[in-house]
Amino acid sequence: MCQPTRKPYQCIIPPYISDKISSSPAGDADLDIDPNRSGERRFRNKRKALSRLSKARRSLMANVYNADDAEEMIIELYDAGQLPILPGEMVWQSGQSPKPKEKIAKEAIKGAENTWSVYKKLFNRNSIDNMGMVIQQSIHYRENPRKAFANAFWDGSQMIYGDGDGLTFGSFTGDLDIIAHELTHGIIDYEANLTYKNQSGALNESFADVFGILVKQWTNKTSARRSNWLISDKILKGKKYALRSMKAPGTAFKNHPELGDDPQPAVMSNYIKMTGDDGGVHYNSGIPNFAFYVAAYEMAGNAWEKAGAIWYAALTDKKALKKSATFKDARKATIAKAKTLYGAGSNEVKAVTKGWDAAEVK
Amino acid sequence: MKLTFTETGGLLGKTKKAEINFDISEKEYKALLKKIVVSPKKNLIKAKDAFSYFISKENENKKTKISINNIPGEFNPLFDELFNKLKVVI
Repeated sequence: MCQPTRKPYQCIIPPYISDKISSSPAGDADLDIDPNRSGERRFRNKRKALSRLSKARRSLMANVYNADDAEEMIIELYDAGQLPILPGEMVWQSGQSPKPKEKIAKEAIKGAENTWSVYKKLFNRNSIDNMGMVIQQSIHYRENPRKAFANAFWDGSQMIYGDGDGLTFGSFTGDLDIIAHELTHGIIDYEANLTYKNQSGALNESFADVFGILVKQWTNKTSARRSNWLISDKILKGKKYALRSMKAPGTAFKNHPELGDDPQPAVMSNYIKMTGDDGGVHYNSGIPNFAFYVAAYEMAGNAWEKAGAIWYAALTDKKALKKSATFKDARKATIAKAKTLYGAGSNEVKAVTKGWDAAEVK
Repeated sequence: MKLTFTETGGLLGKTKKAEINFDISEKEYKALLKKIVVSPKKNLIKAKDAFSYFISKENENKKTKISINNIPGEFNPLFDELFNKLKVVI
């Protein structure tokens, strides 16, 4: 029974969680029920505080806050000011007008908005944790103030972009598929949570590429057979270069003056055993990437419709795809999902099977 | 002292290495490592697509994972040189 002195939200939230919310930086201001605030603002702030709780605690809240209660995207953009300080200074948040005019800020906001929309429209997913998590992004980041940062990454709670060195790499907000790739790493953390090493790590990378390219194809309305299947064809400077090719892994760049050749294998017989890069997660992801490309190409039409639905269903089924999943497990999971979604003898099942066969994952 | 510096990971996954001879005593090297080593607890936080950095000295089998976020000012020349000499090895 609620005590009269407790605030309404405290009545439904276990005390140890409400204590955490109250002591969070946003807690005091955001969770007090102020009758002068609009309901929308109140809910947004409450959810923002929730999104800052740990994953485990948020899972406990799943029954209290239904994702359907308020499905609006909440994006926050920070400027790290070329320093290794995160998140940096807030420059914009959803609902604020006008939006920043700076190109990099605009790209980061648009990229996150498009990615949120694709996950919502195609898979009815409400943000990274499917509970309306605030999408936090920092631009102009450097790991070391004296060194240009040519990278983008997901740090476990937010997306971070460097400006590149201006010679080999431009700003890492320059390609929509990279923004979607990083956001997808967050989603993977909340779903299959694939261990970032060896084959499970390469699958983690591949799922991030798959949904990265799907967001790009959906935004540009490009069908599976018309897409170039290149990941990030703008950030790496030079018209003939991209970071990866899902259609032909190992061909995204050749004789690059700094990077040499694209080392990605497309088939299992060329799997690279290595210690660096967490066991070659960015190398061997070429194999499941190629399987997805073949499957989507065989299905024709738009890759986000059927192939995307199958891969998303596999990623979000923790029984089908465990943390330590191998490529064979991913084959089994996606074929099983194709059967469930489209029927055992369907063309979709045949296409997925053909994809994994082409990548020599049997 | 001959030092080997390795950068691995990142969105591209390429491994880069630099090897230099640097005027640094054993004591200074140990003091540096103490300040920039990545603690096992911090190492458990698995970022995705982040770079990892390692340093080792001549005749040392062990590579130490380090953070470049907060390099002591007196070692800036060392790291400037290491970064400048990084070359893709795989």
